[in-house]
Amino acid sequence: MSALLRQTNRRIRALLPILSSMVLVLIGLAPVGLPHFDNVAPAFALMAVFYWSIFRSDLMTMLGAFLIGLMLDLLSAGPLGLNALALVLVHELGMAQRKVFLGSSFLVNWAAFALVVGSVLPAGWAIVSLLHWRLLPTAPLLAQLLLSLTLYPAVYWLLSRLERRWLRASVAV
Amino acid sequence: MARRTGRSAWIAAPIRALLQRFAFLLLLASAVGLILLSRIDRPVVERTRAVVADIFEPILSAVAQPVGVVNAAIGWVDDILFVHEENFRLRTENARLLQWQEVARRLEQDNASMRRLLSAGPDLTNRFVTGRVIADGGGSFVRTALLNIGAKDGVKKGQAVIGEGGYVGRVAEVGYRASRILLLTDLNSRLPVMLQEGGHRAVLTGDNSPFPRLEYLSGAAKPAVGMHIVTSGDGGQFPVGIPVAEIASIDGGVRVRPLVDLGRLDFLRVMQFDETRVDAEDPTAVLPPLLPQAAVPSTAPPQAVRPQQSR
Repeated sequence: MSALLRQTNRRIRALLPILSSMVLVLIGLAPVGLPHFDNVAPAFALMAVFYWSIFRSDLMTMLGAFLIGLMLDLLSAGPLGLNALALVLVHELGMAQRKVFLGSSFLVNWAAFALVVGSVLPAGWAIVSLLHWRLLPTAPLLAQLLLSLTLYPAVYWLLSRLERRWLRASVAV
Repeated sequence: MARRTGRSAWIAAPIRALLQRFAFLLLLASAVGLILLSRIDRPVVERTRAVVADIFEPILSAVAQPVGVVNAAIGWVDDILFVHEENFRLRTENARLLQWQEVARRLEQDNASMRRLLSAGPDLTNRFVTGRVIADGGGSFVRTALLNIGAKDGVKKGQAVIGEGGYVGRVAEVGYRASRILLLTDLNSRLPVMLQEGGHRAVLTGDNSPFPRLEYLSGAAKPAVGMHIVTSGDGGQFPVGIPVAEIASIDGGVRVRPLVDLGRLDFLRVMQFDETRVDAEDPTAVLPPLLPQAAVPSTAPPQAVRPQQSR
């Protein structure tokens, strides 16, 4: 019985990376009335997937990243599949470089995030511009970039707390 | 790394790597496929989105609740800081509005009596249903909002959505208990409007910027900064005359500033406008009559009444 309980407990904990990312997606959708940030949301999902694919790539799978993106796509109103595409790419980037990041400081991680967010968001902007066949305004894109970069340390801190608290005893699935 | 080798010991590393590659390409292809699908088959995507929005409505409402409190707190601090100025402004405005109330009552009486003379039908009436914004577009490419009311409250696709001060957008997707609003600033928004002065028709085109463009304005029109734009009712989905925006700039194309602050949407009303439905109630009973004895004014000769334009 206790073995079964322990097993269940482990399984639930193993879902933490994906669940925490989904919660961040929902928070990112909340209608915050920031002045001058008309409808611009920070890319919370991108932060979470980037973090988890570096630190717990065994628990944040590629399919997980895809599904989180799909959830965001369905709940928001942009082209369906765009966030799924972005998050699969972010997952791949994080996975490819994880050995570099694992031993490095937070500042290196932040810089790497800047590179990732700085290439994925403009790429998304380019795709949507292409789909509509006109150049979309760049101000919201820049606002989203800056907002995401500024909030990344907070999300990093939160997720590393979560990881230390719930996933310390290395959860194997 | 130890946990990996234990699990995949039975698969040779190269094969595993190959499968990984394959999964990556497969997911990339699926995502691209979805992007194309959402361009080709909009109804299917819309319906799926409506279902997902319905499922997440309680969670999003719960998340939006504390956000609403935070927004209210920010607004409260703002109010306290500017309470004196606000009070002064409201006093002067109140004085001005009281005068307008007199004018409105008089005009209402006039209007009613003239309608009686013409035996014109009563005004088309509108019903409203109020909902709360529980999520926004969630990205920098769209200007939308999710409302916590849907088909169960009588919301239908295409209905006009009104905020504090005027038009906000129209209903784009309807679920059972949630619906998505396409804001007038969105890239896909096209709204038939007219200049309040002169009634020149135009189309208000969103481009994701805070200032939509006024297009197809007739050459005879003379737009000026500060002029008001209202819905024209063309297309039959909205009533005429909902305030929308004021002209913000006229050099290099006319751009307008929406009357409602679209960055701070909270409670919105969906207008259930039905052109075929005529309310049997007395349409003149908008304001309580001040002078009940005032019947048809004798100073209103029938020939002075312009027949109502057919719409």
